[in-house]
Amino acid sequence: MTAVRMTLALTAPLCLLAVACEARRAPSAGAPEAGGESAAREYPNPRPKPDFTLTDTEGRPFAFRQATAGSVTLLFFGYTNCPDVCPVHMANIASALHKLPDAVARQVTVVFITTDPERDTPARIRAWLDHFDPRFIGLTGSQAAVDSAQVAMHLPPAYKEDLGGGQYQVGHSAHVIAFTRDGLARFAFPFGTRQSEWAQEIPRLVAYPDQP
Amino acid sequence: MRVRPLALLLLAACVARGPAIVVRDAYGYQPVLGDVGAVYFTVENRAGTADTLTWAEVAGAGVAMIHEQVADGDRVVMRHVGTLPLPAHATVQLKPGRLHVMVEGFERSPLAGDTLLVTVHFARAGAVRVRAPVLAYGTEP
Repeated sequence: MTAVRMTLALTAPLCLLAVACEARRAPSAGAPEAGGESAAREYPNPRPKPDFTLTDTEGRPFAFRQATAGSVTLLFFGYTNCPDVCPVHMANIASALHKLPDAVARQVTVVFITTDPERDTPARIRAWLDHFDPRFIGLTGSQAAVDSAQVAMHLPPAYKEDLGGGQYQVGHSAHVIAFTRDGLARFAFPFGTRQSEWAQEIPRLVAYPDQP
Repeated sequence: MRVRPLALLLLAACVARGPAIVVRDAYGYQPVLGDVGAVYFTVENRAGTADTLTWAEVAGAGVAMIHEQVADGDRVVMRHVGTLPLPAHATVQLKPGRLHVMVEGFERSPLAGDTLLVTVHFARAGAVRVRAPVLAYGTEP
């Protein structure tokens, strides 16, 4: 299996109600860093990994549950025209993984699902992800298929915000959903999670439940 | 020429006062695919009167729009910010996840290590220019 597989599912919206009801978990160690919201949120009722199939950047079907079985999976919905939240999240995860021992990093699959399949061609997604880590997995599909994947994660689907002149941006969830190796979504990492926090939390996710 | 002490005091007071608006700590991120990037900075209104940030421009880029990441439930969406109010003595920080200048239409896509010339326009203070080093995403300033 590929070392670190980041499934690029450009899924825009994040789970509003679900995460809103989540308990907040204290940072694993040390004092919280400046930068605001950063601690992982633990789902009070861990959710099973949804069973949907999208298309990877090579044009092959990618059955999310099956293809990521047994690995810690970090799932993010976003889009490549996003200049702020999406690249910062991806870069921070990639930087943390690059600093961790390979034995830890290769147990993590990162999946990015586009919430903007209209503009995000497979080639564009691939090029965008390669900038961070070529092992990250990018997924796309029809708008309906991408929306369904978000709904399967209890997230409201992303939506377009018209900028005029045929331009638009996409409202989407800013959280990264973390599945432990048992296939359950246990944590949501909000925007603002820093590289040092990822570097602390990823080994804990890999070791879960030994280091809950 | 003789300079009266009072005149010297007034001059010193004016110099010490400095500019009413200070734009500092600017930086930008290298566009991942060369087309869309972001610039951030901190604006300090040191005056006792309010001002308004009206627009910004980046040399060599056709489009620079101030955007705000607005929470919509648990989603976020970028909204174009027409103007940015700056109350007296207020400090406003543009930073990831909150406010940024979205930059597009580059004549030449900037690379990490380059410097962007940013001009920020204010209703009262006029134009303030600042240099913004370009960082790679993943570089935490």
